[in-house]
Amino acid sequence: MSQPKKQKILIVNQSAPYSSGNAKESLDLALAAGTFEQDVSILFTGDSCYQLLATQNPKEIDSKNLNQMLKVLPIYGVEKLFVDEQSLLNRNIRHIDDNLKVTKISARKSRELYQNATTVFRF
Amino acid sequence: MILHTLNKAQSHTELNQQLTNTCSNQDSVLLIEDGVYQLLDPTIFTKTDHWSFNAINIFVLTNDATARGINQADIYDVISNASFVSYTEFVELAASHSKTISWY
Repeated sequence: MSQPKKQKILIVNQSAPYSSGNAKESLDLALAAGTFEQDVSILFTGDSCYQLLATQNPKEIDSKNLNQMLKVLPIYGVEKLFVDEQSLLNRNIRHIDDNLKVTKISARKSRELYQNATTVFRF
Repeated sequence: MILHTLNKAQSHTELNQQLTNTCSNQDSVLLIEDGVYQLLDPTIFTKTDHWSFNAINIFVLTNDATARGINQADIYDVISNASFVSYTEFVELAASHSKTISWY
């Protein structure tokens, strides 16, 4: 029996980390897809850029640190992390967590990501 | 003397505009939850069509700011009139203003 074809999955984030469950759910999907050895890319746009800030301390509001969970993604084979440069500029976010290997990309490059994916999930 | 609480970032332009239209120069704005992200961008606090132009006081809920990676020390210079408050002070503010309006 032949192996099922690998899916090119693009997970697009657009939500801030703690005000909704979107960020957490997108991570769960990324980890699951990574575990099944799918080709996963994650794109951060809009308010999801706030997920990438360093020194978050969500214990203050009884939440889990999603930022720490993003760091374990490479262990699950999810290594392609992108952030929309314009979204960072719009929010004056100058420093994102150095421990996250996130590549800043242009609108043109993110359009390519959407076009080349077999499946796109937005959170 | 109204206390306005705002829990959204500046990307929610219509909501921010509605607050700007409503806020008088005797009112205070308290940033909570995702509202604290606005402090990252000092340029919006210099604009006349931003609610901060009208508000007499700007308060920030410390727990929400700390949770989201926004530290008092980083923003103090740019938005000098923002005061960080605790949950207890939040209650005191609610009690000392004539009413509270939630913008969400």
